Amino acid sequence: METLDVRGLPPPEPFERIMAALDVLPAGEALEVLIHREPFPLYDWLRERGWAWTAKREDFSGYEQFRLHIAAAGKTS
Amino acid sequence: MQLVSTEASPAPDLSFAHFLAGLAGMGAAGILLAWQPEALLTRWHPAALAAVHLFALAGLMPVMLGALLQFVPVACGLALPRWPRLDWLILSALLAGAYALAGGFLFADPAWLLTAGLLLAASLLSFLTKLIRALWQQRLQAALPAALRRNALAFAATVLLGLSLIGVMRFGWALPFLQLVDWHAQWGLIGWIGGLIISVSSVVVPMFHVSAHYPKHWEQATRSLPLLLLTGGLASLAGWSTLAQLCTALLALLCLAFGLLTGLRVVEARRGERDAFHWGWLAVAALSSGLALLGLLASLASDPRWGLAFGVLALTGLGGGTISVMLYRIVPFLIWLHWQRANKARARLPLLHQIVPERAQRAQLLADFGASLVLTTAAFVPVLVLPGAALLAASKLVQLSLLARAMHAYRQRLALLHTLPPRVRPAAGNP
Repeated sequence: METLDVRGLPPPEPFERIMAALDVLPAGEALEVLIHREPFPLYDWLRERGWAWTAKREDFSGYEQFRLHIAAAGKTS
Repeated sequence: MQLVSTEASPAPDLSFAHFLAGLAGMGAAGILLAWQPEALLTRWHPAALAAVHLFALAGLMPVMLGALLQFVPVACGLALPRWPRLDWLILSALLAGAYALAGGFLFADPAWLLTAGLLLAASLLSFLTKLIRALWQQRLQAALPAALRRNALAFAATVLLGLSLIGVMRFGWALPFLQLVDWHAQWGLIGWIGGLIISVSSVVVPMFHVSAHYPKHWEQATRSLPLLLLTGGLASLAGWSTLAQLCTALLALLCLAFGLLTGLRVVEARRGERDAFHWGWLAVAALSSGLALLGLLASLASDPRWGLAFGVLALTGLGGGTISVMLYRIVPFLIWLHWQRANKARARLPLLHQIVPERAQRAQLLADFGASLVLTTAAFVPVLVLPGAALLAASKLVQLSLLARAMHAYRQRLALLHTLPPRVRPAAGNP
């Protein structure tokens, strides 16, 4: 599974990089994203394009970060 | 008919209307001061009261409420309920109430004051209900929702104190008028406007400047803000001047710390660009530090002009200036976000920083902060009121024009994007 690290990037770069990565994601594959904030606006975009996701909050040196798992709807695990 | 929408990133049209109306309200306050420059001779001048309430209620308030409609879902994941028709009525009542209140002060007309009170009560209490419903329904333990809950309480306190003042002026309610005026101003300027700026900055500054987070101790310290306002206010009422002064000193210390911590984050930003957003936030940091000093001087000096200067700088500088800087990120970001959502064809779109020309932003912000400093100085040099007020009005109207053009381009491109066929890719999540 491909992992994309967008921590510490200013908006809207994380969003742009995630969209670009999903554009070329091979069929059946999932994308893992590390990000420093929960990207609430991204969720609408994902939902409208048939992606499903899970978000896990993690601790990173005393601050939170999020690990997203994105796959075509019906294929998240 | 859909009555309530709880989308994570709602369509921005309602917020855009709030922003444009707010900039027009701030511009109107500048025009009023330019028309009656003698207003700043005393805070009790009818035109001063009218201009202050135009700036705060027809200016800052719509922008703050419009921004919250987007900020709460985007930053906290808590959707504010959307009531499609009622939301427009809330905005209309707010604006009508704000202009009626200004008219009531200007022409000393009790009927206008009563009308304003009813419109503002209906509008602001409706919005508060919406905000409270979103922030208290899901008791998230994170720092930001908790900070916004404190801001909402300060908002409620400001509104209730303001309505009580209308009750005193219109119906002769037996309440301590001068004390209520001071409390209303303190809860509005420091608790609501200052508190919301601190809360929003805790997200916006580290995120957009790519800098360190504000320290955890700072977040803990800001929790004391409503308590300091309450204690200071009650101490002042009871005549405990030492305790009241101590609260003022601690509030000034918070304001200074905000300025220093923000300035440090902007200077050490990893983003590297020295654009309008960078200089704008540095100006906000410097203004906060200056405001802390001015607040302390105003509380110690017997000359009322220090208090006037503090109020002007707090309202036009920290309030109006910070909002101007933030709007240059909020509006382009919303435009970009909603273009992306509509862009099923994955067509190439303008970059975020191309949506409002950077050079124009820089010139407008320079005029904006310059006007605020000139008007603050005008508390001591009355001849400066006219140029300061004219510059303030011009800068707000220029920003209104810049953002209106960006919003027009947004609607045009959005309509075009809706006509494009979606891009087909076999591996996509598209069903």
